[in-house]
Amino acid sequence: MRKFLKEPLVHFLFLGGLIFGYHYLVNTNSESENAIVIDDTEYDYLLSLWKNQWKREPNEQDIKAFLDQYLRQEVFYKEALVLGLDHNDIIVKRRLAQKMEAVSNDLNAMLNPPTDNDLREFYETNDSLFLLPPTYSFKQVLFTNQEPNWQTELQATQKALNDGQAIPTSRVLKLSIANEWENSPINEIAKAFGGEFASKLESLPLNQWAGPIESGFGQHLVFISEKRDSELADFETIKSYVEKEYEYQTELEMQEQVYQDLLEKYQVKITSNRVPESIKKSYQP
Amino acid sequence: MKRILFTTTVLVVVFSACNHGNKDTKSLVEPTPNYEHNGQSYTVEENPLKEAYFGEQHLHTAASMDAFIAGTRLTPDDAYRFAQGEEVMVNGRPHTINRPLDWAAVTDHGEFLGEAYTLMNPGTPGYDSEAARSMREAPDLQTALAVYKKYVLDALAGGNAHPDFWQGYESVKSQWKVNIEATEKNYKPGKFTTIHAYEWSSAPNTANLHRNVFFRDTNLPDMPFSANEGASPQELWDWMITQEANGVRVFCNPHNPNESKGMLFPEVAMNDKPIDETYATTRQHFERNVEMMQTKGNSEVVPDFWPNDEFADFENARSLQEYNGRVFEKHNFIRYGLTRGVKYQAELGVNPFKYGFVGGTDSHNAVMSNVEEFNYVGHHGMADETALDRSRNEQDGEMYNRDMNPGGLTGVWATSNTREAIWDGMHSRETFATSGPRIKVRFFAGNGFKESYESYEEMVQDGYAKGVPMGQNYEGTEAPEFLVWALKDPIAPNLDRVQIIKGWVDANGEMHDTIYDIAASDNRMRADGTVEPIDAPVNMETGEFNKEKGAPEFTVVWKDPDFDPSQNAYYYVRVIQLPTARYSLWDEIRNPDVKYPEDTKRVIQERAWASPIWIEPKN
Repeated sequence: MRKFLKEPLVHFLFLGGLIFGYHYLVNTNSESENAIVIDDTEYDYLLSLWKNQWKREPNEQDIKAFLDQYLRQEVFYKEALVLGLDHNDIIVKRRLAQKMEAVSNDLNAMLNPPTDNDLREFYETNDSLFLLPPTYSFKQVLFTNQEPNWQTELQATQKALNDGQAIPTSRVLKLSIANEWENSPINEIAKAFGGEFASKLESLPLNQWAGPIESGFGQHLVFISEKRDSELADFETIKSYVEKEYEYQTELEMQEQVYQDLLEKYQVKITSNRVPESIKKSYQP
Repeated sequence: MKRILFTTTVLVVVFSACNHGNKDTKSLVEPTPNYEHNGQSYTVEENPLKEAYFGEQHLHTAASMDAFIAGTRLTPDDAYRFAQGEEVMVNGRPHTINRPLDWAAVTDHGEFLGEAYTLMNPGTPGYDSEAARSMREAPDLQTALAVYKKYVLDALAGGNAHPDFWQGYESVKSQWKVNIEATEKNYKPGKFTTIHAYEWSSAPNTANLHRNVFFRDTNLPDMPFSANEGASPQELWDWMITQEANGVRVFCNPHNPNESKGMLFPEVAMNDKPIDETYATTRQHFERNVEMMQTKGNSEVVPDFWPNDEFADFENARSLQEYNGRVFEKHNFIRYGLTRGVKYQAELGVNPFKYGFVGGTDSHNAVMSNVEEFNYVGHHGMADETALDRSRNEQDGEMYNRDMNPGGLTGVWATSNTREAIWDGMHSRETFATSGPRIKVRFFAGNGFKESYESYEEMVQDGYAKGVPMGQNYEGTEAPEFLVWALKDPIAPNLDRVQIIKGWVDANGEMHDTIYDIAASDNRMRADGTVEPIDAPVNMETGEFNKEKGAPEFTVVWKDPDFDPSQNAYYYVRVIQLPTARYSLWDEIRNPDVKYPEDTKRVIQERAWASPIWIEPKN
């Protein structure tokens, strides 16, 4: 049963039913499609909107004015529908689609908060979401592309360093960048050097000066002394984060599920030959 | 895969604080805690040379009522999570910051905090009122604007500071408390700093006089002082004086002088009295930095009044002028304000406009420092959420969306990433603004600097030992030497040049300013001191920048050839980066059916501005 209650489409249809039912009840008095009826309910609604804005009772002139305004909008709206002006209007389409998506977003709020077991199950099946990043301890020496003989200098320095010599003074804190990095998570390294440099560290050998490795600053010699692989964070420590992530992922899934269910309902048929075959296939049920 | 990478980012921020002293690390020595906050001890990295910490000092969340009406539902807590790298839903689409921040402050409008509390908390009195409901339910921009006009603007015009569902000051205190809690919860000393803050949003006759107010610690007022309680800056300072008497440490930063209709750098105060010594002293005491750039424009200069500044035409937000009578005048720009300030110094003996520089976004989407052009998703809810909206809509009552920019960033030189250190760095104006990139810039004035330095460490030590850093007065008796160091952003192109901008007042009380190119890449400096423009075009098909030209770093020692020790003057630094794609170009590349009007720039030269150093002769 719980499984059934979690089914997004069920909620969707249920909500749809409510909306439709409300519409049906409200519109029982309409005699024909062409009539615009202002009954007590409608009048009271328009009146309350007006009073809220003006903070007083309307006089006859005011009443005429707001009814005029309402009717004007209503007749143009109805006529526009009759003429089909709502069809294929990109703005109308987008508005309606957004409205519908908003309804599906609200579905999430109808679910009960997750239990500890739900969270643990989610944590175990989605461990990729809860990995601590890999960390590196490394040293780096920088050569900028503007240095006229950086290639030869780099090679000479690499040899000297591998022979156990110290980092040359002129390259200590070169461009202000620290030479030694201890237990630095990969994302911190990416922030300091750029993403490409960080991603190259993985393929480098341990305990020797390697390079040149390019970063946003220039060319580096890199000596990695320790690498710790990515590991799963402890459940209890990150429980509140797991909960946030659970809610977030459920919402995304729900959105996707509603989209997929509706997609099925409408059966996409791509007849254009200009759409690549592989894409066409992906829309087949 | 992208998602996994991002999550690991978050986990580091969230848990690295607990990793200290972890038994399976190799370190045998337990780190000694060197910092305490709310009874907890932390081990925080100390940088004696100071480090540039990048952050956001101007941001709105759903707790700002205008942001709420425009569709923002992200809370202060969400904003801080975004700043640390977590994914959030922005206008219904998942979004993450490209690079997490070191520090941040949420600055919701003080004026409607109470209403925001009512709007967001079911069951509170007023929650079900007609006005509150229509604000929550506004399904599109047009409705939202109508609602805003009806319940906020019309109420203001009618002399009501609040829409009818306002529940009084208790609701203001409730929301202020929510903001305080989010700020405390997200503070991770040494890793991520949060600062208690809000925005005082006074706009007499639509002249923008807004100030962001920052508190040093948890000694906080029980609610902010808003423009409803006092619309003139002097009333705000009076309140700040009372706060100081209670031990509260507080300062403020004004923003958008470009929208100030000449009122931010005025000749007379709002009470029509001329600026006097008391006014100037109080203003300098409380107002420490001015926001150089944000989504609604760069306020440094415009070509209209600085035709000889070849870099003046940059994110000027010119269409501001078509709304609210906010026509450009020289008085609205920071370079004028700084020069007028040194003239006041000559006249009154104290400078009321002694400002350092900060940058911010003023995003109303709760996306902290989402400043990278290629990652821009708008800053104003439904008004600019898609490329199409950005290319053709206006920001109602303010300017065209295509004239907005992703906003600026603040760098603070500080010894550690803690609340006190960051606040102190801003308070002493050791700050620089950038138009978005993480360019770093240091600036010292002193005597006896070397022509070149063996190491960065030696240079920085010399800077402090023989000079003063940005934000201070040069007190020496000889002509000063200016030591400037600038470093590129690791993911952006190299730097084009470094400039020093000088402003002064002569013996006749005339105000002047001028620009010196003090360094340029690729040997482009000409004999007459001008620089040949860089030829490093952006690839208009791919958006890629030139990777060959420019310099990754500049270190320069410069002397002013026209230095006059008897003149009141200031010097500030501007660092120019090679050209890059503006968000308008990225929008067009990614959305072939989106076309920005011809008047829109596709390529920009981003930059950094280091806070001034002043010369104040003691006759």
